[in-house]
Amino acid sequence: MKRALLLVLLALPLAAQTAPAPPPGCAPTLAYNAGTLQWSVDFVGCNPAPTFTAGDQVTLIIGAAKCTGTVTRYDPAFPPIAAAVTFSVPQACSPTETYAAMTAQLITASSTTNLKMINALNQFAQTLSVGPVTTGDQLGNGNNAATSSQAYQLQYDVTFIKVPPFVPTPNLPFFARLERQFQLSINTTDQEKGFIDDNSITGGLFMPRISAGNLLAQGKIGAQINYERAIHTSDSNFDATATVEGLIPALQSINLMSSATRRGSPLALAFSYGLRRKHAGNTDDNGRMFSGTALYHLFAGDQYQVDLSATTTWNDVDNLPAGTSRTQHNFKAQVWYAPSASSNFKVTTSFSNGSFGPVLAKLRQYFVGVALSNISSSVTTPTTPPK
Amino acid sequence: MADDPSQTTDQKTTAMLQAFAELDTPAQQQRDAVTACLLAGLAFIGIDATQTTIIAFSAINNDQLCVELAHSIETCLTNKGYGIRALSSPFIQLRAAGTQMSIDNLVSALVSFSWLLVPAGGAQ
Repeated sequence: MKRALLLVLLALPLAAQTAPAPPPGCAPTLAYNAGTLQWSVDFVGCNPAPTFTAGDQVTLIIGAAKCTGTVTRYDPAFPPIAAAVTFSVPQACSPTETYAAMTAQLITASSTTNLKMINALNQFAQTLSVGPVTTGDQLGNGNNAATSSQAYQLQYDVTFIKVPPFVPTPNLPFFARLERQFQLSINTTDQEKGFIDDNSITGGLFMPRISAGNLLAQGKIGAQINYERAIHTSDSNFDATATVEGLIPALQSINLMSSATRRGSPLALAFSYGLRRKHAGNTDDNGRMFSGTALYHLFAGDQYQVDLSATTTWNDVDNLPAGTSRTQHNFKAQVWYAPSASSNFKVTTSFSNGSFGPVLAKLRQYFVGVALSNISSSVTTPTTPPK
Repeated sequence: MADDPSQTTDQKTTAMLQAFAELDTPAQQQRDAVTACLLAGLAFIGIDATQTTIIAFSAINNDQLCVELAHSIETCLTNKGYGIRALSSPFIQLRAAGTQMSIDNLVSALVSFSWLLVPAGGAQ
């Protein structure tokens, strides 16, 4: 039964693809310029990418609006950045008029292309990782003994975000001025014991883009609900919390023994406080909970990037099972490697330690696997242009 | 520069202004505008950078920050009179590829994507 469920979960991302199948790797994206309000279509992974000339006519269908646009610019590929066409459109298809649109297509003389909307208004992203993991329990570091030292791990994340427009938009409803997030996260294995089994569904409403000089950048404040559950047991947590998160510019990423200064996002902090309903065994109990998360990047030499993240949760839920801690900590270190000082960083390995999710057991595992990312659907289908 | 006693003060001033004008070409103005907007955009997403910094896109926490960076640069450049292709997708592509790029190279890329906007009524 559990293995059948895992197979279903594995099939989820594949089912999300819409037919017909896109050319391998080709995923055109639609984004707008917040200053000029012109649209750009980037032909990501499309080889060869179509070419355009300034003055060409293209048709954009976005949501319920359909407009003829005029090409203002064509940029050939600038590796690793894809070729792009930029065009102006009438007001009806302007980003400020179509902020709620969920779908878009570009129609040219020879093809109709479904566009992935990666812009600030609506974002949809999936990642899938599958690979073998080895339990650290063999080293005596865990108290939830595994029946096997090896397992196959499935990590699947899907995020859907609606963000308020960056540019002032008249007559925008209050609800649309808030950032809305939905997230499904699966992190489990085919083994019942001794490995991480941390799965969750989260929904939230936030007021975004709060900044305070060098103290806070890209801050958010809001509320969210979160349901986390183990697949291999019925233990679960349901939380309703107030949340504050943001970046701390005063704490930039550090460089150790590097010949140049590298920068990524500074220290990121997130805190939430609220109510928890916990289901363990056959009982349901209530209490308060607090969660704090920190993410920090550091660079070592000119070839290594290390991402450190730590989460601490505390709760005072009644009647916790004997031996269950009210405080959980988990820690993850992810190492990236670049073959030279100017080449791309690639993830090489990660290390996780601590207690994860509703299964209150100390676990340690190592992951070396294959990661697929950005597998959300985008389809290019040659068709007869509409009359 | 040797002082030419045969030149009047006005001639010397004109020569000096011409020398400065040659340094401040439209291409250099565009590059300066892009540099200023890029550094301001990075500050908007919390990254303190200078002209010698290397940006590791793999260490930008999420795609949303790439979008915010893009929109910040786009609005800044429009206010300075320059158009540019939408930058959200390029930054997300750089993040997905784990690219690390110096500010100088990033500015060169953005300059190649940008153009001078002509006020309404003129041709682009």
